[in-house]
Amino acid sequence: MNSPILLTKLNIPQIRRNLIDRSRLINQIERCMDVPLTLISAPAGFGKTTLINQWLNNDHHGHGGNFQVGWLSLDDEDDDPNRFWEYFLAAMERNLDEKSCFETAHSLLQGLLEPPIQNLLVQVINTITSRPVHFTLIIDDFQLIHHSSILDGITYLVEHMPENLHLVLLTRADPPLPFGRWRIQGKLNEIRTTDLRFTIDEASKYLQEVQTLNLDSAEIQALEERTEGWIAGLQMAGLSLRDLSPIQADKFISEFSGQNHLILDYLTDEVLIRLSDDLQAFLLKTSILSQFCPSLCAFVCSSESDQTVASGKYSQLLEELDHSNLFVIPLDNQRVWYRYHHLFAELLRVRLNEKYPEWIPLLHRKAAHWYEENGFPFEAMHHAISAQDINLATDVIERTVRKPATWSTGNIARMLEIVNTLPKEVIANRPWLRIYLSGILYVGGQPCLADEMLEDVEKSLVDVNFPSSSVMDELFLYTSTFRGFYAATLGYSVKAVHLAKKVLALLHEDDKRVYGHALATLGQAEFSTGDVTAAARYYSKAVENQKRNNAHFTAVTWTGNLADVLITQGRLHAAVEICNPIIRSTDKDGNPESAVGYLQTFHAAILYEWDQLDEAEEMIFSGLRKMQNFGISPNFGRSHAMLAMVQQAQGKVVDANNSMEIAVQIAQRSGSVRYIDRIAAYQARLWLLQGEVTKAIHWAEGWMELRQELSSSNQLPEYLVENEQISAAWILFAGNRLSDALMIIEPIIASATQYGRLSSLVEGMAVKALILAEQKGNEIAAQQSMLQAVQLSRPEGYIRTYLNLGRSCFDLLKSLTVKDNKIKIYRDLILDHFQSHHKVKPTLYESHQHGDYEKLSSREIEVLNLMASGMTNEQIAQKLYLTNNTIRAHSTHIFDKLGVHNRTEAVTKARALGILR
Amino acid sequence: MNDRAKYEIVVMGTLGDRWADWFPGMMIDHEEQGGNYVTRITGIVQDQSNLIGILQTLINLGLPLLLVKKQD
Repeated sequence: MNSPILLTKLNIPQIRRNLIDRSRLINQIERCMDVPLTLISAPAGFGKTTLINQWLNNDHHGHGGNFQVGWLSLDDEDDDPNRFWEYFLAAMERNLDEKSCFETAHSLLQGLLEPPIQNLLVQVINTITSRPVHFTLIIDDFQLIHHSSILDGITYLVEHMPENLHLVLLTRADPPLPFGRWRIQGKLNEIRTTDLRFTIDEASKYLQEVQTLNLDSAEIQALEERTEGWIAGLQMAGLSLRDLSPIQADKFISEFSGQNHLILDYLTDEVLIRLSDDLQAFLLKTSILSQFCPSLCAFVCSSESDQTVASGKYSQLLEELDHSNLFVIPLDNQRVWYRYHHLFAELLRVRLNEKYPEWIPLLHRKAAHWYEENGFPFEAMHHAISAQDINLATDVIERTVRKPATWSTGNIARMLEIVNTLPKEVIANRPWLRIYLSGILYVGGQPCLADEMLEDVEKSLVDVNFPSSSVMDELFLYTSTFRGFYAATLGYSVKAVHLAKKVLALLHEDDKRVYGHALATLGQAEFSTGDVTAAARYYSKAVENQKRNNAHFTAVTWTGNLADVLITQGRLHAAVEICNPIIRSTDKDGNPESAVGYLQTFHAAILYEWDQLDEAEEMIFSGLRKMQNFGISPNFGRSHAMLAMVQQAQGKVVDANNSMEIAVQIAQRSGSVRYIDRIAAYQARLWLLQGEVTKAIHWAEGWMELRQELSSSNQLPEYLVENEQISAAWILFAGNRLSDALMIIEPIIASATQYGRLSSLVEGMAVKALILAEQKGNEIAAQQSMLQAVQLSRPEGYIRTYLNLGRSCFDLLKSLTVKDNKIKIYRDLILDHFQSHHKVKPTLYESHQHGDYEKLSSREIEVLNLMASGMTNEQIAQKLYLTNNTIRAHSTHIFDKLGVHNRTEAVTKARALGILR
Repeated sequence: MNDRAKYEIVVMGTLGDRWADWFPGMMIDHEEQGGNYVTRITGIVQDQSNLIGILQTLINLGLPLLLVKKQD
């Protein structure tokens, strides 16, 4: 959303001078401050936007400085839930002091097919409620919205609207919303066509004062009657009457009144006749543009010879049009971008189509070129398609995806959307386009589709006899490189290494094309199979290579991957050291935001390990935001899984579940078994932390069975599944399946020791210690194992790993006899962390071990928390958007599970058990 | 149900032939009805969304609808 064009969507359109007094309507609009929804519904040209503008410019809001407004002008493309709610949030945020107040809401919108809108709206409602403001959100052109999920969201919002939030919809047609119900409930303030028509008084004032025409009352009445108070009609009539002598004016009015043609058609012709030929041509030519600035006008309107001088001329021309009320609307304060009034543009296009149909494709082609030159690929494609020039559109896309800038600042997800609308045959003949598109699919979270696309390209290269074999070699070089890289991420290490080595053998080290990619492929393959030392070496070389070649996007993303390797190696500080300078870098350092956002997740993982939860959450949010501008955040399920873990640690159970659900969806959409398994392990850990032991164990058992099957049929994957294994061991331990847990953890410790994967080693040793501690006669071995974990993890300051292991870990750590003072200080630090905020929520599964009550669900814990804060059932119901009955049912379950009879007992017992702080 | 159907739409006022491209495949006729000029638009619409689009265009042009009828 950084493009200046898109930002104009959130600008309040600039008001025209010389407006007539419409206090009767202003007073009616003012009622919007008393009701949730105001509907201003009338066809085009009835002055809806102008009127709301007039109201905004009035000072008599009576709400002091607390009156705030958000504006959103919709376009055809916005009838899409994700896009709509993104803009919705952006419009709300624009005028609230903090930028980040809707981060959680944003994180719910990461390109999901069905974003959880209700949750998002609850966040918005809570944020607004807590602020001392009166916030009015105005949405223009709401008739463009038909998607039921958006309409459902608006309905929900209106029905749960806090008193200090108001919605104003400007629309040409009533949207399908339950207005009948809202009217009866007094929730609706309505201004309709009849209200908006100019009365004879207003028409008279308008023509005399604003248009400064000298007309008698009979003439005014004739105009008002013929236009029926339609403002656009009166405005056109006014323009036609300008500079006419009284006799001519008289003649015009009588002809006009007797006219039976479409008023606007007639009037437009009248207005155009009075303009110079140049100006007429200008209006007709620019009518194909949905917005325009002087330089674009110059390019589209001028012949090639005079373009250099033209821009200044057009800047002046646009201002003149603005001044003479010729239906242009400035879109920004600097008066650079304008658009025509929609109706006027339509009327002009009819004339263009009638008079100069042969110009139309040419004009669109010119517009496409200007937009492409100036870095607006989407607008360029739109015009290329309007010119019915599919080849041009495809050229634009191909050139765009091959530009490095696209990978730094472009919205590649949208690019993909547009590509999908192009005919398959056109794409099929463009191997280069397809190679780059596969890259987009890959970073967009679809590695399997990306690989299929390249497989197709390779097949077509063999089928079709390509003229030059050097072009062919070049294409194969790229497909092999990328297919190798995808194979590495998908876990097919053997294939990855094979392809990467083949590529490396063909190239010299100074090669600027794909040498670095092949190195990264080897890095990823080694990482997959667990050789982190080799992985770090290859990735470092790959990053170096990309830096040398100024390939910023890959340099930064692979630094992120390198950080991931370092974290596994237990080199947390080293990982922070390579991330920090990039995160702190500025635009001019050339590090693409999108890639920086990706890298931030790894940094957040370290902050989480150090138990700096708020910082970790902030880091992920800002990273997701950066990726989202690029359109690739959906790819990265791990960001959301990490976010879920952080939120769980912060005690935000509902948020944690939302985030995990998103991570799961993203993984499933990727179609990669490896992605899905990885996220499932995170989900299982989260369940365990929430006390859902049964679910967690169910996962662990299923996972082990599958491993068993794969192993007996010799189909175990080529990649390491350490995280899954540790998760399973930990969960089985929590379920008291000690020998099963031990059987999994021993080999992990051995392999992690051999290859130097310290993070896994520390966690493995700690889990093993806990298992041993539960076994009779192994107390000393348990102590030794825990002590070893502590010694290993001290230099890098691991904390979260221990905290997640819960009460039994706390007990074991506490009972350790530590001689070395440094180790003792570190051990005490971990214990402090346990005691400060985490004693609060010692994870619940241990109470299961102690077995004296049934686990509470996350919702029940939430209800219990609110009970503890002294809320009534009704208040809790309101807060959680549930019914009173549901809350009562939850309470009954809570009492049953805790074996108590009332709220006070429940809260006391929950505190004693450590469920509540 | 087959979505394609022939419709007849009548609006108040006269819509010039120059608008024909905005209603592809439709016939536009003018006639006088009780002293008023009306425009009759007839032809095949592809589906209901197509029909709604046509109606919306007419409404945007400020032509009040008098009749919308599906023909057999």
